[in-house]
Amino acid sequence: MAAMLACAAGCAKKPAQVVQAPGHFTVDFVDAGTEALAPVEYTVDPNLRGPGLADYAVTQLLAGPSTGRDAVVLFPAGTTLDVSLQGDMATVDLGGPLTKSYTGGAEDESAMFKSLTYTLTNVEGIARVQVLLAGKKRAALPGGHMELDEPLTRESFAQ
Amino acid sequence: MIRFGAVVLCAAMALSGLALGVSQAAGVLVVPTKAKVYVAGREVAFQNLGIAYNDPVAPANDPGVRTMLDLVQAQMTWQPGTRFAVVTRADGTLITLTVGSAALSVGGTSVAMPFAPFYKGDDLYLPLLPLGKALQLGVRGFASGYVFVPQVLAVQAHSDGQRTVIAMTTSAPAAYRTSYDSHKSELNVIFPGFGTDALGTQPLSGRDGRSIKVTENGPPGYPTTTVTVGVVHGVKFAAHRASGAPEVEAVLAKNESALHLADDSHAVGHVTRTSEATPTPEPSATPSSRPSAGAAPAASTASPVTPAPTRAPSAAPSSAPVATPAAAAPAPSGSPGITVQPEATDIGSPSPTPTPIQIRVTALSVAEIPAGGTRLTLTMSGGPVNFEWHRLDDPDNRFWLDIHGVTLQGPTQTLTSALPFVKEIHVSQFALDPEPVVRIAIDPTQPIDVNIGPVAQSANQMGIEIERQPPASDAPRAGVGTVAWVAVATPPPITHTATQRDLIAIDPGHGGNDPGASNSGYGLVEKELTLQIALRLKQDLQRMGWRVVMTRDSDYEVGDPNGDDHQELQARCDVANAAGARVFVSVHVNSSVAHSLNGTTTYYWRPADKTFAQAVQNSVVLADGIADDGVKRNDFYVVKHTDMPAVLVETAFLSNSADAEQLTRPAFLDKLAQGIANGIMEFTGGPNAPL
Ligand SMILES: [Zn+2]
Repeated sequence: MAAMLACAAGCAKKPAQVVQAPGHFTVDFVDAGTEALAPVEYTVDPNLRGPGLADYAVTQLLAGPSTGRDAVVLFPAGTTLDVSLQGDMATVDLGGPLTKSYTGGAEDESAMFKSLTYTLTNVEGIARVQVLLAGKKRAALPGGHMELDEPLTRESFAQ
Repeated sequence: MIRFGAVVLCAAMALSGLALGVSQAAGVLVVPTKAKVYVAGREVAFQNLGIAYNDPVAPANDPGVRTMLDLVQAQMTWQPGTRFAVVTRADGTLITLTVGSAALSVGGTSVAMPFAPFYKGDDLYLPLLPLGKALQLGVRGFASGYVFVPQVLAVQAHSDGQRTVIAMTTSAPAAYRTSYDSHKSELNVIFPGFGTDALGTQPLSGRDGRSIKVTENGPPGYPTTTVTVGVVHGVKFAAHRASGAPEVEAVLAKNESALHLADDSHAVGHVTRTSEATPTPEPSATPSSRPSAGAAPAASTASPVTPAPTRAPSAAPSSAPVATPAAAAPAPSGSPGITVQPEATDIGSPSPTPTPIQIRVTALSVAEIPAGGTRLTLTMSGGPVNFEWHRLDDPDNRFWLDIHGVTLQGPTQTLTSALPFVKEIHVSQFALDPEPVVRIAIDPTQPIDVNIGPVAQSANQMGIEIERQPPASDAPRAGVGTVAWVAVATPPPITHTATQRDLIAIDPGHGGNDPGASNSGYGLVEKELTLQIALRLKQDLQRMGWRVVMTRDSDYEVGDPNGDDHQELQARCDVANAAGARVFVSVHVNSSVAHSLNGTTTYYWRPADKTFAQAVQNSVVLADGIADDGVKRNDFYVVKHTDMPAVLVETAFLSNSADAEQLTRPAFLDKLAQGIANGIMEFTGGPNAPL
């Protein structure tokens, strides 16, 4: 029952371009209890935008939320996320253990990429996220479920 | 387990002598199989294909083994009763298989196999998967068979002051083709049917090129590898087959003369840009004065040869009604080297010219044919086409063929097979006005016979086969004919079959080196659970009258175990698509760091599949009695790349203690399988229900 309620709450967020207030940026972590998105708002330099902001976003996403939040980082230790922007697309070169094998469940995998996609699409003008594995476009994580050879959008995830 | 057991058995045999080894091996159970085997894109027929220790085996003298070796130009030496079979690979490397030894030798290096070759009666049975790997083929297992894919093994470049040579080593002689993209200034060397592990981009040093990019596309069973070379403006290039080793070389040079390597045997063909920057075709082409060895002589075409026969010598041109043959008028004089339009980027893309030209030659390739000749294959954008041919008597022996109403997409090309009796095949846009004519001029060293006709099993290819036999002394010296295509192309091996009303595809998630999720506290591993559920589901469906195709029925990867993991999911889709399954069900077990999450979810992607997902979800939760997490739309690979209604069932959470407890019980797995089967029945109406 908890899971259903959580999903209803998490999925109520419409997949749409989010407009962030200047000087504020939201990183979408994952709730440890429900796997719903757990948005955390950060105060940032108002001049930080575009690639700099995207880089900041993935750095925060990997670092995890400050203590006291019941949110988790699903990317395993050793993961690197190298992000670049072009047009409305963020390209994220994912490095580390995930490029060798993924041994989690579909639920975790989906939540992991959902948090990445939602966070990066919080950057103004970004609507799509293309994930590369160690520099290459791949169909999926080894052992994974999600299609990665096309850009992810907010619509890619369980509604 | 099996692999380990076989190695231990082998060690025991070595200690106790060959006699014991033979008697042990004689007991090997070989189960005949109807699995299909594809090599280099062709289905290979075996007389005695069997399964031993879960792997395919066949006798050394089986015609299937011979065909398999032929297709990669390898040869086997084996005498009945002897302990060795020796295979000579196309590159000359020796592969030795020894009775009782679970290791084969490749060029002197020992490579472990799951089990040893063995005798059964007079037949020496060989394990086919290790043999395929030793032949440098990509090996891909499917539920319905095995696919051996030749590989582009390495792409290496070196430059000197004169030229840059890019060597593309392949595991089998390749029927490659080339194309040039004038917008991007890129030369593409395309290897249909070839996979590669040499993916990626490397910079190109020297002054001729910018970079080399290797990509692979298409289904894993019949991939296409493309080597894209960024060419510096003004640089000429050539591509040819290196003699000896299975290797294709692309040569880049500022000077056209430098395209021809010092070793004349290597200079067996080239592709030359004849146009640097002409944006549109010249309707009235200006004949260039550049001499070309491969061109038919202008002087001789001016005096027409007898146009009596309507067929090429010993040709089987077409079963279609012969259209009015093109007038065998004197061919327009002038040598090739005519300026042609810059090539369109993509084959099949609209021609950049506004001229209403109907038919284009979109691709060219040269390949050896088994009988010892060469086949030039022209891929056309349409048909039928009329042609006219001429030949000169010995000792000149030149042969040329004009195809009327056709334009050449791309530059003039000079191609040659590795065969010694053909110097060059020159393909050019001979004329554009008043009608376009593509000329194919063949320059042999001895009398040749030429067959012209449609390529079997192709809807748009014209084949010109050059054979070594001299034509009869009274054979005609010229003729006209038509090539038309009646048959629709037979699909390549891994493709899409018409939907089978009573066939269900089941995909047990993960397998082999991919365990999926696990919960060690309960001894649960996703790949084992998915298989246990899927095997139960198969039985349930069969009881209901369904036929079932499984992407795997044991613990293995569906794609190439040594290949890139990223092809694994497509390989699963290929199984279902190739079989023409009515619906596809992928079985998984979920896991989450949030241990409270529990229950069943059915995922779909295409909105049209939601009904199917809901039917499965309803009947599974009815049967399993755990939480109903509903149907969800998610970007999962296998439900997107299958041609039929497709769902992925996350049966339960092995990370949740209550669900995990249930998953340890066989009765619960029975319920999950029964629930899925009921959902399939509900959605389809059963195996006899109309589509
Ligand atoms: Zn899974």
